[in-house]
Amino acid sequence: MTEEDYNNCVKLYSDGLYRFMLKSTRQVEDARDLVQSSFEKLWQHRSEINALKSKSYLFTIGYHKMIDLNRKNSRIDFLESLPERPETSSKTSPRLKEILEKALNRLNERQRSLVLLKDYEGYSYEEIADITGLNITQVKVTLHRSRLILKDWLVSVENVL
Amino acid sequence: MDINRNNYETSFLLYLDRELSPVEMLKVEKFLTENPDLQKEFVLLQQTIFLPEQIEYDQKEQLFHKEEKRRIIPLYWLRIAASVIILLAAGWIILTKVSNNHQREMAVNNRNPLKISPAPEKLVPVKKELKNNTQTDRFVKKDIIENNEQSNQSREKEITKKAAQFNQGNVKGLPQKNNSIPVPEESFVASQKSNAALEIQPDRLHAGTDPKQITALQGTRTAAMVLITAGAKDQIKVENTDLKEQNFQTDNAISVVALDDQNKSISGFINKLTKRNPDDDKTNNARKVRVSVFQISY
Repeated sequence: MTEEDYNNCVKLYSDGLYRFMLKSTRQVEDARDLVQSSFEKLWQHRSEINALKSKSYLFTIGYHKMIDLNRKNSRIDFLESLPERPETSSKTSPRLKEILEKALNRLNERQRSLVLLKDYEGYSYEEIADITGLNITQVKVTLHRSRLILKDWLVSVENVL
Repeated sequence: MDINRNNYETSFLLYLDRELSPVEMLKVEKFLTENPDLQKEFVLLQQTIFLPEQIEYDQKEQLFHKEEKRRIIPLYWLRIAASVIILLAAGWIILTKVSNNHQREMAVNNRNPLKISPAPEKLVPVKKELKNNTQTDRFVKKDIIENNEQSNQSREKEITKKAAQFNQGNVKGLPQKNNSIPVPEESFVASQKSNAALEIQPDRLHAGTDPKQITALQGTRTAAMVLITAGAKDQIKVENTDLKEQNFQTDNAISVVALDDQNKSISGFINKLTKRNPDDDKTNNARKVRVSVFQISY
């Protein structure tokens, strides 16, 4: 990977990585730091990296850094405490996007990351497995479970509305 | 894998995650058309897919890197300084050598004839028969070039005055009416202390007053003027004088130049400048000798 390849990675993937980090961590500063450190590591190991695999390498770095950060901060896993039904505090009907944003926050870190990698970045199960270090079955099961949680959330909101 | 009402959910999710082959996708679509009551559930699952948002990372510029390449530091100032030093050193060496050579030349020239550059010629008629048949009468009245008549007149007066003094024995260090000094009739010796005034130097007319001598002055800052004697046959002879060394040079002047008649180039040059004036041959017995005055430069 040359200097030019690296700078192309910045141009092509920095926005996506930041979005992924922002959606995963829900913290702007954390997301910025993770992007910065991810690209820094990519730069340091550029000589060992094939330019064609630079994106997955970048997301892999980012993902693991995010996991490390979450462990360090002892973030709360929302999945276990996810209620059966969504809260109905708001009487106004939110848009579907906003509902999904809230539903996303109900997922745990792994589920959220996998959903984001799948939906935002379009990775396959196999690629997600490579990035996250999970096997394909784990990715598949995790994603399906996440979809069902989100669907249940949407159904509950619709029922309320 | 066949799709049925027990496993349709997985097939729907695989379909939405684009993990099915086209054939399997067609099977799912076929199943949906055959089971319309499950379409609502399919739509709900479809709504769980997040559409990508356009989020821009605003600190992208910090991520760009440039490899640190070896920069060639332009040592312009160092080069210039080195050049100046080299030039100064070379200049100093050249200057030193030139100075040494010049000093050597000076040393050599102090022993040998210096460059002689001819001063404007002055015709000095020497008459064979003068009023007073004394030695001093033989001193020449200079007939300066017409253009300098006024200055010549004053110079002439001065010469005349000094000649008179000499004739009367008023000149210090000169024996009164030194008629005993055998000076050939046609010979004369004159010198000029400076460009401004022509002086008679009787003390230089030492024993024998050889007309073939060259007389010079001491202590003159400007070049001495040398008049060359003319022999009876109008042959110009210039020989080394037996002047003492003290006469040769002072601190700031070179007074005497001994010309060697063997030096043909100089002799020839002098001969050219001391041609006889052909008009003088027509007038009586007067002999006119072209006296060349040389300015010695050093």
